[in-house]
Amino acid sequence: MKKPLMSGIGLRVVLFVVSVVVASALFLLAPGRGAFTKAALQVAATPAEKDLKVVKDINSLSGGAAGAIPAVSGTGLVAALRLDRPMTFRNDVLPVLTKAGCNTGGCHGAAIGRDGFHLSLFGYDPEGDYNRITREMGARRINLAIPEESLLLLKATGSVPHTGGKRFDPSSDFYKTVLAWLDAGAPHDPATVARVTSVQIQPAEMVIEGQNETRQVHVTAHYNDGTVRDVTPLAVFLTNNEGTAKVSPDGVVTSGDRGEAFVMARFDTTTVGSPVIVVPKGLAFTFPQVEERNYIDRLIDDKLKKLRIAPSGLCTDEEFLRRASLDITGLLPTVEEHDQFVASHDPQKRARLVDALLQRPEFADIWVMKWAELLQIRSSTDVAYKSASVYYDWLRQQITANVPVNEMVRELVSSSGGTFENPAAGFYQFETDPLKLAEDTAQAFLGVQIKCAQCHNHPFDRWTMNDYRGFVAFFTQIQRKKGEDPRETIVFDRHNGESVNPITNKVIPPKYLGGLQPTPGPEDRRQELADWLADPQNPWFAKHFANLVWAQFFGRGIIEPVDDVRVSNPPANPALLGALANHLVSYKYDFRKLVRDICLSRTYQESSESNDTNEADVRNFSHSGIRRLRAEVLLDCITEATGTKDKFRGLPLGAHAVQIADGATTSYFLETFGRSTRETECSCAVSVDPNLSQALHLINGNTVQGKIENGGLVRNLIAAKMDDKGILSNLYLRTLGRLPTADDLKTLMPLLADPAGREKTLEDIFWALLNSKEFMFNH
Amino acid sequence: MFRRIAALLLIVGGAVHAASPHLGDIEPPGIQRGADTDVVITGQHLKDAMGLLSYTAGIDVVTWQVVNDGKVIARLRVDQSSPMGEHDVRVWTATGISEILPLYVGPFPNVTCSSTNQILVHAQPVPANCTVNGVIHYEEIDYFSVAAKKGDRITAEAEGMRLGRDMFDPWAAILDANGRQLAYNDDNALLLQDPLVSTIAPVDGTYLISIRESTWGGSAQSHYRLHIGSYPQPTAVFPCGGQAGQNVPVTFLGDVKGPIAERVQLPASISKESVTMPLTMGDRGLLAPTPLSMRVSPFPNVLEKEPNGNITNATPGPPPPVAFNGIIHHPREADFFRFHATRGEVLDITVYARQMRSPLDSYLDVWDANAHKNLASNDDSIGPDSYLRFNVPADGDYCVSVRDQLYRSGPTFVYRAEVVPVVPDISVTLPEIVKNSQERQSVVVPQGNRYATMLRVKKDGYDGDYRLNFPGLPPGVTEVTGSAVGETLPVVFQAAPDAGVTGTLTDVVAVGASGTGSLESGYLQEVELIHATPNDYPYLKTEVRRLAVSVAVPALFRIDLTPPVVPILQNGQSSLTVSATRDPRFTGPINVSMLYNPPGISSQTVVTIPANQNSVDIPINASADAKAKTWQVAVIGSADEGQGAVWTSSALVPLTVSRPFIAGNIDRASTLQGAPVAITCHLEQNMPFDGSATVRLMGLPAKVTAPDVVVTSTNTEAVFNVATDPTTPPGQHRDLFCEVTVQKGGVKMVADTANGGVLRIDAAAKKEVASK
Repeated sequence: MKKPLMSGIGLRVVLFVVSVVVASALFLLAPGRGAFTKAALQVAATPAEKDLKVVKDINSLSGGAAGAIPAVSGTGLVAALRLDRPMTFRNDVLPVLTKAGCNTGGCHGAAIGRDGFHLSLFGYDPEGDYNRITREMGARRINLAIPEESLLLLKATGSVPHTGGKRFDPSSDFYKTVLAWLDAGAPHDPATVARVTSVQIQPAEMVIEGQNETRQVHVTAHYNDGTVRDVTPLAVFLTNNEGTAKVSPDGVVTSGDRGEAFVMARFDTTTVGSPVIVVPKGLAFTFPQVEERNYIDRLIDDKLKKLRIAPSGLCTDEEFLRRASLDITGLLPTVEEHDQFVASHDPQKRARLVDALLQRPEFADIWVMKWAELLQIRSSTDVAYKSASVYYDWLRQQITANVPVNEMVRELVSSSGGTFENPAAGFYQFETDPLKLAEDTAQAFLGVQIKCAQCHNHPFDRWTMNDYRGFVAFFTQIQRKKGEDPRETIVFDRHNGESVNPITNKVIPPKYLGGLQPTPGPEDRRQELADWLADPQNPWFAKHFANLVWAQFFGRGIIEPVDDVRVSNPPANPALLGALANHLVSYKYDFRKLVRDICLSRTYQESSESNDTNEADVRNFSHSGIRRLRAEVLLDCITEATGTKDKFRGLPLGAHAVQIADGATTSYFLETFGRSTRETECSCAVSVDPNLSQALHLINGNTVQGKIENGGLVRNLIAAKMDDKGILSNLYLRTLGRLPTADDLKTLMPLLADPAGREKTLEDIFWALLNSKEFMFNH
Repeated sequence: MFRRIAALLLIVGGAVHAASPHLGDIEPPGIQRGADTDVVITGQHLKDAMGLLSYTAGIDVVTWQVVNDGKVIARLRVDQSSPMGEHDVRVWTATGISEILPLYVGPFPNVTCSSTNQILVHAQPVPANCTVNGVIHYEEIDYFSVAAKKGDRITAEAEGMRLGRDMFDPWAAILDANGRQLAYNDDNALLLQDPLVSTIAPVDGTYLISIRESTWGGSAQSHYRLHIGSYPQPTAVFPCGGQAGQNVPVTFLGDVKGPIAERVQLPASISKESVTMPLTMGDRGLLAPTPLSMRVSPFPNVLEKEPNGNITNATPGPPPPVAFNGIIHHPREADFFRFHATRGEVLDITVYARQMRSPLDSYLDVWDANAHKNLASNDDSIGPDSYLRFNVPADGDYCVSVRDQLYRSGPTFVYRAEVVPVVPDISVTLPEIVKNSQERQSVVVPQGNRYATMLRVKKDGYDGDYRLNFPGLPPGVTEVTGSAVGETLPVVFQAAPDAGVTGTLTDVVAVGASGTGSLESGYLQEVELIHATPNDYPYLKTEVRRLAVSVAVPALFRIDLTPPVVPILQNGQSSLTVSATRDPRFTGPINVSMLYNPPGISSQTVVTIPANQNSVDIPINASADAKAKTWQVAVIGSADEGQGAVWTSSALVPLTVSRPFIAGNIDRASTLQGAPVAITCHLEQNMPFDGSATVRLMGLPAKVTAPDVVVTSTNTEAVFNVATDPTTPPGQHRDLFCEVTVQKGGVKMVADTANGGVLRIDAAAKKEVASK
């Protein structure tokens, strides 16, 4: 099992040095024409970053030459090496087709191919591609008698009409590689053909000052026969932010606007990436003197310094009280809580508040709801309401009892038995397809989406079809039967049933994501998987849950979306994510302690007001985000502010919307405001995006107005002989968590001049407050 | 005696014409043993209610007061010897018999639930060892408080779903005086969906019991009986069976205070088959409300001797028949038992676990004890329990092993595996007639009239003839059975005009005689009490072993089926004539239908004899493969005499299915639109007939006519002179066939033949139009 990588500056320095050294030492050969052993490398000089460009130059110069090729570094020495490996389809020809774009989804890599010619998407099926090129259509795609007349080459060079146009020139290395293979008789690869074991990109990260600066990245592939090869010309380059960092097909990065980008290279089945930060040239910037309250602030500041961004100042006590109450309990602070907190001079009052909020049952409610979404607890025609209810109750017991999250997941994944007797077995009741179970498990507990690899190797991540099928194999032996009560499902293992790669038709044994395999044995495969998930050494689990917790308090994850962890979607702050994960593990997966760390950090307590340096920042947590309240919390807040009570199925009058057990429980308000229907484990199921229906419902619907009338709050305040200012203060505090400003009063007080319409006017003001953005957002 | 008085009063009052009653509820739904309890019986059509029919002895009606058509107040007395738990009862009236409803007998006095105990602080104080009768409305929770001394057992057990009133799945908890939950339970194996929660009082004080629906549902029909007190309630007994006549030591398991040993005297007088009997446990004078189940078998009983976890150390037993008993104590445990069997023996191996309400979900294996080879396995042929029929391949030792299917275990995981040579059996039941309903699952015969039903008679390991006996039919009632139709048997009951109005539960005995000796089997009727999602699943069933039969006051109509004078021919049509005789007070319509359709015969589902008319024909059809045979058929009729449907039937009459007289084959033919054509049907004379037969060509397209052809039993073909029209649609017309009508004694016998005849009609040539 992999251990977490080193984090922080030290790590980056090491990676930088290693990357430059390796890059400088690489010898460059024509694409597909050679390889060298690691032992052959000799590094004679300490390189600098600029050397990379020189290496690129040599790379282009050396292309196409056969035999022993001298390679010269700008400042160092690379030993001369011999070509000692025969041409192969897998390692030489197929990369050319991939680089030339032949097997993309828009071309011959489409599921039905293109113009009668089908290749596997990005070359996930070399064997199939070889057969299709050399055997299909009466072998007309190749001409071994006159290789230059092969349709494969004629089409690729545009010598005959080709929908995809010209892909490469007859003088190119690509052409020569394919031709050489055809010259050799288009040989079939031997079974022992070398396989790529890993791919590396250098430099591991880049900070570029100014626009239109260029950097060359290099990609090296490591093979299982011990060889290492520079595959920069054959790698496919991508960027996730064209505006900040463009990357050319040959791996030259050009800086653009200030910001961050992630430059990726794909080769064979692997995608690797390198973060790029672009800052203005000669920017005058001094990082402000700010307090570092814990490791979170330190790691956030490290990144901000690199980005030349200054964090915002601290939020007010009122803002903090409202923010923390909503985030931790899903409820607004009461007027009394506000007065008490604001009046307190205790320097530790924010910490004490967080500790108090963490002890409230509403904290568990929030997380039970989030877990219920993750586990898709929802009744349906196949799943009885009682099953959903019992499962939800179990979940509530676990979270209330503060069971470590890894132990919860261990119990869920390994569960067997009747879903009433052992509610954790409900995990296997809602989804019965082994493929989807594997996908859901990876996404829910690791944040990894492996769906793509069901049909082809993941184009933007590391997952191959064998990885996918190996993970599916943990779920192929599950059997279910109805209990004596037909609403109950009994889950058990039948100890047979395998996962098969549909391309190779081979049985794929259980394999954890990442490559390790469990010890073969008669035991339940799911127990093995559960133990792996719950193991502190698991490379994804702790990070994923740390990220989920983080996202609750900042509105976005360090990896965002939180359940789309992949090479091409790197964390905004890997060091921070690693540190949070390490702390979660050291806390024995008691996520309350992580919540405490987060809420006590300066980062969480920063104002949502931005400064000149951080106003454009949305992913580095340099200031507090402004987040619309999710549907359940919004309804609970409206209910709480108006002093009314809601009734939901299975809950007593006055219960909160966040306590709804069954995702199938209908509620127009909640559906309009984007609550999760729990039909998917995807984090995207919860929407906080605004739409017209929401606005119309708040303005014209019966929720706000009805609750104002039913609650009778204004009437009661008037009956309590409270003056106008007092009533306005009460309404502001219970909705916005603050007192009205002088400007507010200046606007509102004249409206109350007419005593006859006082109650109506106050209700209108209350209505306006409940419709205000300030109410609907946590800030 | 009390019942008869009530009946007499009603009959003196004159004939009433109510339909079979509907028994909606008995409130309270349970009564105390050894005491008199007033109950309110509610339902429909109860104005002529005469009394209760109880399937178990010991429940007597002390007083019986019909309040109105929907209500009866009765005082019931339960004998001290009556078993605890469920007693199935019906109400019988002068016009019918109600469906079954469970009535519970318990050891404790009843307490009525208060209407204000839905919040904890208003918990209703109740004495220890009482039974609260209450209702859980939607999302409601009821609280009770009870005093207990430190070390006392506090037990709360609910009858909810088991009451058979509603799809009501209760949940119960015990809380301390501060509301802290000490124990809770939703379901358990012994009580199905009903809860049993029990704990030991940690201190002297008041404890709270709460009960609600498990998912916070509930309704006005969600009745419960909650037994609260310090009584014992074991959930299993080991062994859960023994040999008849023996006095055996048993251990009651699962009680919160631990195992309790007692001795049980098993009855000696059982039939040659095993029976299951209720077994109630007591502790210091307190009886458990829910009895456990005990199998009593005529053959030896073997208890496991640990260790017996593999073939080598299997617990030995005598050759079958034998019963092996054990407990799966430890995870992944399997218990092995060894016995000797002889080649050719056929053994039924049945695990009784969940059938005895054990938590064990059994998995059964049969092994060759010498070769250590697995020969057969079963998981859940009888619900969660295992069963298989094993053909002994050779003389030798064999093992059975029992484990939990999920390798679970526990101190109450008791089981009993009976290994018994196959016993020929005939089972008789009255199957469900109306889906998910008890409608007409009893026999109600109006005085001087008839009632017909179909009984299911299934033979297992027996291939001989049998007859059905009804030894307990009311005086004046006789029955006639028709010939078996597959596994069903038509039976017509007839009541003499002077048969007394009465209700009874009667035995039904199938008596067979095979080469190996006589065979007698009893009656067993499965009754589904609660249906709910998914798919109207029957959550609660009960089994009764007697058929409910009553003699009702005369119906206002009777029906008779006229025996057909000619057979119905295969591939032919006919009709059956039903005549009605009405009382002058009744003129309404009568719906009639076949009691059953013989194989290959189809009929209109319901045909109505209109008001003021006295007969109707039921059209029937015979398929080509209808078996040529004489059947005994009857029709059943129902009419609403003012209070719902009253059912009667005709007598059984013979209906013969015969081969057709003539078969045929039509030659292909073609013609032009408007041109005539001769179509030949070649005839095959199957049976001679008197006189002539008329052959009609059928299936002709529009605008085509063909006169009938008259043939005799010597003709070999019929030639039709077919006329077409210029507008006859051209094309291949493939549906031609012949209808052959033969008359016998003035009655027509019609059959179709020569299916698939083809007539091709081509378009006529267009006339040329002269050019200008």
